[in-house]
Amino acid sequence: MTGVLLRVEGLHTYYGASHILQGVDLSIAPGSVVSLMGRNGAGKTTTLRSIMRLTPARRGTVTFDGEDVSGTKTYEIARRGIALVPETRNIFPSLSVRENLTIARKPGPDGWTLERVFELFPRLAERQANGGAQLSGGEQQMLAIARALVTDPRLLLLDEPGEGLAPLIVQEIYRTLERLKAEGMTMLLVEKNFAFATQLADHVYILGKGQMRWDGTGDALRDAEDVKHTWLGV
Amino acid sequence: MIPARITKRDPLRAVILILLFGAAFVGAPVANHYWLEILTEIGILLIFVVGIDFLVGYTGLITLGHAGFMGVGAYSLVWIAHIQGIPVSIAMPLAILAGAVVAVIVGMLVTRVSGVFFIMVTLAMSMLFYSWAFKARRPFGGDDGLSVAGTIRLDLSSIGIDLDDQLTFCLFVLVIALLIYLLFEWLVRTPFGQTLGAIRQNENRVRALGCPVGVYKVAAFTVAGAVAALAGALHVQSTEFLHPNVSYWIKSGEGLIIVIVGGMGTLVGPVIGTFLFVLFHKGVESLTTHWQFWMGLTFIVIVIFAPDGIYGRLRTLAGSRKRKRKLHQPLDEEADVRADA
Repeated sequence: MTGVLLRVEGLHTYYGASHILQGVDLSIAPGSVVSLMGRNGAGKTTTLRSIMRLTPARRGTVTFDGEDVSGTKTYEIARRGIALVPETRNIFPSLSVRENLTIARKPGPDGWTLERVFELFPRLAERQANGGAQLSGGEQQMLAIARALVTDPRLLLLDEPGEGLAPLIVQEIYRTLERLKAEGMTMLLVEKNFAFATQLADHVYILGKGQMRWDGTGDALRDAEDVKHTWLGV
Repeated sequence: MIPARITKRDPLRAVILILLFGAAFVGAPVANHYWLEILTEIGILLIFVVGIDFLVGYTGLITLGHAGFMGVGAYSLVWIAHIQGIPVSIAMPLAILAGAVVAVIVGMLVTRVSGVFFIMVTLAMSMLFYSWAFKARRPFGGDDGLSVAGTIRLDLSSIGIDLDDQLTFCLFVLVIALLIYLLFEWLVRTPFGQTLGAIRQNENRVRALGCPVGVYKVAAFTVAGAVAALAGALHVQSTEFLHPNVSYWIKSGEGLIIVIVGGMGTLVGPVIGTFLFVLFHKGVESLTTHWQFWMGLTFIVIVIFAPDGIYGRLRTLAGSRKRKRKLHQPLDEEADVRADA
């Protein structure tokens, strides 16, 4: 498939007086995976939040599936098919695993049922009666991804899904993302693990100090020593 | 705060409900006039209070103006039944509907703000109603009130129930109170109720999952408003006297205190709170004119020694809270701020 599922143009976002995003552009083709990389404070999370309008941008446009969603309410953006898996995961502690999923579930054409996410994360199936606050960090991350999937998204925004987790669990999450990619899920991934981010992504964007500094394929980035040195510090 | 999540098997909850409602239903037939009045008052207050818990403990909307809807229910019923002369059996559903309609309108305004502002705006809204009722000399008697004796009781004689009989009316109120309690127990377990709990815990996250948070809040506000209007309609039938005080902010404050002292977000806690509040009130009132002082002191002691409310304390004592679920995890807002960086 060709075309563009998500296009972000000239996004400017502020926290109070701080000018965080200073004209961010990016686009994602349907079925592709795009990695967004950059140092701490570069504006990666803010970019995701601005796309969802959780932190509304002051200027710039976000076009999803050909429609301008810059002024659309967060819940409507979610309903149109963008799902965010936040870094903080934000599982609802008072609800069980199953309840966390059922309140988010929106039946759609791709049919992400509870059974299908349980198949993706067998561990959640075992723990579906457990409370959200009783889960390990890794299980919470799985639940956060599962909860995003049951809204039947066409675009998944993932904010450092491996952050703060044990290496084995991180591997498990990575394998899941690979599987989602193989199934054709479009993803925008914020990830600090250079090897994984460049290997999974069809296209990589480098964000530095609120502006896009570089973009290209993962292979090209691996060879671009100066870019890596200046904007990623690797 | 105690988690809104209701443990699936909670024998303590069942025991408390059976004891309290059992005592009320068994006690009523042998009660004298004075005690029947108390039991009726408990039933009406209970309806009002579980609605507040639904808003405060489950949805996270801390209201200090809920008595305003009691006022809407009471004044609507009096206007439709007493003044327009329409049968109470028609007027009562209309009074509840009026509460719901006003709650939709007020809800759409007040849910735009949150936290302290929500408290103040709900307070202001109810006082708006109170000051109107206070001045509404015609036809409601303003601050003198209005006696509506003989025209306001629901007539169920067609099905052989005589609500003019004090015992029958008391049992009628208690049955409705129990039904309303069960309604909320059911509601908080539905996906709708669970979504409200999720909204309390992290509004933005729910929004990002595609849920119109504002609509849910207004819906919760409407349910609680309609139920408060029912309480108001029953109140004026019980006392057969209409007075602006039914909507006064102190009434809202009492409701909130009962919810907090009983254990918010538990529904059963506020039931305990209601029984204790009314019984304590009547008991101390008969001993001293300074009953409010002793009541306040007792509440301070309870809040210090049972920060989760009476029910939370009982649950700890009963050892049924072994799970190490920590409620005050880093506040979700803080987590969001961290995510912003």
